[in-house]
Amino acid sequence: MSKLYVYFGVSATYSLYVDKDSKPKFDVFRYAYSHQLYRNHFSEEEFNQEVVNLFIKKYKAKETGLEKQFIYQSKLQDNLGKDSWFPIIVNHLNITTRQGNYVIPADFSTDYISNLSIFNDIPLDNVSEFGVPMPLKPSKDIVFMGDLVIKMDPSKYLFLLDLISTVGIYSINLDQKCEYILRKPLVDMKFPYTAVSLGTLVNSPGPTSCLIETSVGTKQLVELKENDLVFIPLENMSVARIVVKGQSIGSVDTKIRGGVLGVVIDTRYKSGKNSRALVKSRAVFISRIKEGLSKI
Amino acid sequence: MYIPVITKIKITNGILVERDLPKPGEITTAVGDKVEPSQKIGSTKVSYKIINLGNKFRLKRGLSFGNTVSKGAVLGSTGIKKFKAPFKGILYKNDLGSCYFKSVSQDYWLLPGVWGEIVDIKEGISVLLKTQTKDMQFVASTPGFVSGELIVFPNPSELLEMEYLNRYLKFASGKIIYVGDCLSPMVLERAAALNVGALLVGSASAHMFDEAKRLKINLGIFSGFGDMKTPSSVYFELNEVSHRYVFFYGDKGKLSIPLPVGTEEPKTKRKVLKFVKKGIDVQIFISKAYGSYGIVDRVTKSSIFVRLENGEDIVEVLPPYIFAIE
Repeated sequence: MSKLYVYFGVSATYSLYVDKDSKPKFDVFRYAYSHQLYRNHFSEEEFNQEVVNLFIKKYKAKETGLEKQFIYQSKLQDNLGKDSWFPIIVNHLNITTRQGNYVIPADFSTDYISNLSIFNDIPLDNVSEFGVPMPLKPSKDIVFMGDLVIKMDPSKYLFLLDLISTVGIYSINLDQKCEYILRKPLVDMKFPYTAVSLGTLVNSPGPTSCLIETSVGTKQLVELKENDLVFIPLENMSVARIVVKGQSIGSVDTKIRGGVLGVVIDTRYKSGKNSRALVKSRAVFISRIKEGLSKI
Repeated sequence: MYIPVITKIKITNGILVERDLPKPGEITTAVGDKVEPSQKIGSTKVSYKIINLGNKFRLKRGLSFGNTVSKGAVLGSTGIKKFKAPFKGILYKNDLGSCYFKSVSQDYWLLPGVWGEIVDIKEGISVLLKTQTKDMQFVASTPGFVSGELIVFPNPSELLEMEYLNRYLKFASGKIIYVGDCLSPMVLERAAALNVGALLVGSASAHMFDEAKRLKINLGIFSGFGDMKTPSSVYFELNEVSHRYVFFYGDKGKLSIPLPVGTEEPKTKRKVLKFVKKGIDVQIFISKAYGSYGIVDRVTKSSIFVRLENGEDIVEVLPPYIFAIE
């Protein structure tokens, strides 16, 4: 039996199609229903049905025997499972985690943001305009997904790092097609869930020193002052040992892995008075991310 | 490649419109009658003006309450201040001793304002009409309702907008006015002073939109926030129906223009998504042409190229920064 799972996001629609003969296929339609734009012409149900039909056409799926399941934004939290991953869904001006929904602070007196409330399909391009949203308290393995991350750029990477203010060492990952939300059929069929590794985030506000020792024996000592952010290249799949000593994190000795951003050592205070000073440094941090990405 | 369709103009049959008298009177039409916008279908007597003279008003000798007096006649005084009738009217006093002067009642004619068929009547009070309209969709609007004469200003210049408001519109009160591509603060301020019924524009800043709400001015925006042009199809249609009686539904986000009986809505199913191909009308949201309209010039495997409305520039766009327009 073939299965079609569709997640109707805030500004995009995600699908997973599986049948017994082929590998799972994922696809994203970069639009979602906008009440402001379509209310006088068709309902949300009609819009969603057309998008589902489009996926069926694209996958060349047969309607007979096709099991369809739909996940709506309002019920998103019910689909976040209880495994070791900590999914953070960054959608159109809001963030959803197992712990709750958070609104991304935005200035609705600007034309750009006001237009997003009409043309909700248009992605947030200038995320650096936004303040630091509600700090999250994630578990160890973070996976970012949602409309904001379908297409990444350096300012979006920084925005994702801004979200994590809780002290700790985290594995950070990226899922650009919301596979985590749609993966139920994969679990049944024993397909493993994989996300793109961004690397490891060492979130240690205040002065911090890190000793990174790779599996081939190279060692690198990094000493950072408070409110800094650096990226140490460490390839995807590579494992390293890290010894961290910091004012807030204390002393930690653990194994970490690499990824797109490598090892991210973040000594910024992301909330409270000190966080305001960070606005000035954003351009510097973004250019560091840009530089790091260009080396990959 | 498929993209969603934003419908700007739509013909709808079977719309129900209620027209009522300001106070009970006579309905002179019957269920099943076909009516035209300016046809008289009912009437009542209405006193349009009333002046509160207070309870210290002293009536002039020889006059009594209930008398009809001509314009200019001295009716009495409040203290040393004499009161002259500013119009032909009647003096009366209420139970609390306050005196009032109200204009003599005049005929009020109930007009349909639309082409349609009478489907129900509340005797002496109102009629329900079935009609057909051409609806123009707003992307943003303040929530009020108003109906009135549509005035269409020429599109090109902001300076002209003020000229039109100041010179040519002697009676802007209650009118629904299309003022151009982008709403300026001066036009908004002037419209508030003139008690305009509603303003229609291609675009307005978010700040101006909030200002319109604060000033309690009905505002309908066709294209978006910022500085965007009105779609040429919308401007063309508005121009065609200038001076027609129209309905501004802010809460429903549309301007309804009544159409003569016999205008049918298209039988073809309205499209939700459209396949992108050469020649379709689109609106795009890329930084160098944010909110601009154009026509798809060519489509490659990975990109869409759009010729902007100015006819010269061609820009490359990808979903989701592009919408089809109908």
